[in-house]
Amino acid sequence: MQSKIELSPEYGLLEVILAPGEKLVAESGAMVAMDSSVKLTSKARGGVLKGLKRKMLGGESFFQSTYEAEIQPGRVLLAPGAPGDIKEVLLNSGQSLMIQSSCYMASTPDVQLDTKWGGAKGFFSGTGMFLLKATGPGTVWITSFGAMAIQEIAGGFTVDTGHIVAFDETLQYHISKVGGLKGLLFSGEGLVAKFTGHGQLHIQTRNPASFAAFLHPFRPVEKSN
Amino acid sequence: MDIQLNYRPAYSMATVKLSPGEAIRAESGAMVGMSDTLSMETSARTQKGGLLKGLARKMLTGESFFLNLFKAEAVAGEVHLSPSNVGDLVVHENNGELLIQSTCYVASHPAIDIQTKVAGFKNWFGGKGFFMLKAVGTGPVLLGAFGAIHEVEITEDFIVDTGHIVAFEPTLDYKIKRVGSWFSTFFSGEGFVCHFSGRGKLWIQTRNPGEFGKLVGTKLPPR
Amino acid sequence: MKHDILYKPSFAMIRFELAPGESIITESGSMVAMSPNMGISTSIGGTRLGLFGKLINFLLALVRKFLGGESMFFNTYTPAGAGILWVAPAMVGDLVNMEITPGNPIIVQPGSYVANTPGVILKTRWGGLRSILGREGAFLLEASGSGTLWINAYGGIKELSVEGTMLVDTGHMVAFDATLDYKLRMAGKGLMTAFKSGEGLVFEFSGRGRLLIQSRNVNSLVSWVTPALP
Repeated sequence: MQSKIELSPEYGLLEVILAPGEKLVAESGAMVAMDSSVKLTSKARGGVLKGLKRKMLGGESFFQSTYEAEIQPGRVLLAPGAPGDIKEVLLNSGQSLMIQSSCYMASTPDVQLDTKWGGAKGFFSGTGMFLLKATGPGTVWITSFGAMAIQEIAGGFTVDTGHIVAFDETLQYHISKVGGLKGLLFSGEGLVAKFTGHGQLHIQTRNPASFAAFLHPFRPVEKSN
Repeated sequence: MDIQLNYRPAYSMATVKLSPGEAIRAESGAMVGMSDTLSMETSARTQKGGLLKGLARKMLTGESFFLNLFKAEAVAGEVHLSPSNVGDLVVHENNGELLIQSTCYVASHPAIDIQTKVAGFKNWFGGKGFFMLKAVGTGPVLLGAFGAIHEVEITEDFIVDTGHIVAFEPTLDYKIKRVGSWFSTFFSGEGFVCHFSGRGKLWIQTRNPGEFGKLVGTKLPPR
Repeated sequence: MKHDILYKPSFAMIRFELAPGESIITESGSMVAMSPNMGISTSIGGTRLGLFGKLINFLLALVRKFLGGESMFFNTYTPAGAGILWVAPAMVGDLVNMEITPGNPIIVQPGSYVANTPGVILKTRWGGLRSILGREGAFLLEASGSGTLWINAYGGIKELSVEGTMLVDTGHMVAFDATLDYKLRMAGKGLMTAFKSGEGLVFEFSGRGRLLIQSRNVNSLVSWVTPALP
């Protein structure tokens, strides 16, 4: 499998060339283009996601697409929904990365994907976002809304949960509501995660909840009849 | 106070390093992350201790426009700030007055007074949470744009679509207008424009949040 | 006429310098700034003449607006003296200009249209019944004649070389040479896979010609932001 990230960092585009017999697992809706010889199948994710309203998740997270090159090599181009970057992360056997649901785009079939809710308090309570646990061996491609930055945690660092892309499982975290008026904002704003321990935290320089709040007044109004 | 801008020009983020005793005022929701040594509180007071006027300005979402104050007490620390929309950031060393479109204000030195009830800008932006702010005082002001920021030194008359205005110096003469004939106005999609004349600086953004909001917003599930 | 594109590839904007009487046509709502001597006229577009023709144009424009999502009006800017005009689309992303030469039309996704010089003729092409099922692809714009056409992307623009048969998600298609063979079909086998997989409708391209894609897609943006909405 060969992979290349183009048009980075503004609007990252992933190009993967699959050798015959190779497969790639991806978030449904991520396909930009592909050779017609590539086989595309999809299946429902199931598990904990079954209980959640489709509308809340945005519909597409229910399904997962699998691309397979059969007899000849096949080219597949993938892109996320938000403006921003893509990053390739290699995971060793048993190594886990916690990924914010809207930041997962694709992975090699050997990566174990487990939908893990962000704890009792929840990183993203009140929204349809959740944490995905990806365990190696294998490669996973994560995406950001805005630019992607790495924060090495050594000591304590507090981050607004909407800016979290992914973090090493080795890190400890504590979620709290930020005091004062900020805590009154809707859509999960006002929640921060304090990270301690050692490991890497990937952050994005834009926040989906703030963007959603900006778009909110422009939404069509529900007719009550 | 040291302000560094990174990830320019598309997804700029500001890293503000505060020495002990220093503080920065920022739009609520602008915080990305910060060192644990900093304190954060909702700021409604000027440096002299008086209440910041007009902070109870409500936006269409029902939220109030309010500001947070990040302060380094005994130990230095840093806070990372970014605006809601994608685009660039610029640090303007303010000295006097500056008129700022509300969605473009990100942060400022606490010595700068931020006024939210500024007269004379009714109808400029067609509602939906856009209004004009005035920054008065000396110190750095952090402006965020939707898109790229383009600085224009006005020396001759220039017409700008109001949705593309980031900020401008009040030394300029500015007059709101509608574009073209009745037919053109209604159908041209151009809406309100500002006719600038005189001398002064103007910052524009290369994307229009109202147009973008309409285009994407109408495709979202109803509220 | 002088023109350049600033702030590529993230939030591109076109700067025009027009000589007296020179015109440029743009999609409505895209004006950033202009000199005060600029004359603006608004039209519905289309090349048919006569009252009946005008009615057809109006209906097509309405349909274009509701199915294509593109605004239905075009503005023609003509300055009295020398004039300047800055133009930018609503979506974030890159912008390019393409030369249109006689006999070599280009097909464009309506949402990507930004501006054209008067010698370029724009016509609406119907995508076929199947295109109703998709969210894009219902209408395509055909640019022919002679002149320059400006198109924008949501995201970055990439030129793909068509080798054999290539499938492109309709939302990611920006423009292609009319010499390419294309048809609309489902990405996976059958209707159910298409709707389940979210890949929806795709264009199947074969033959020879240039093909431009954009690295983002508005419907994916909508799906992406929905979980974060209050």
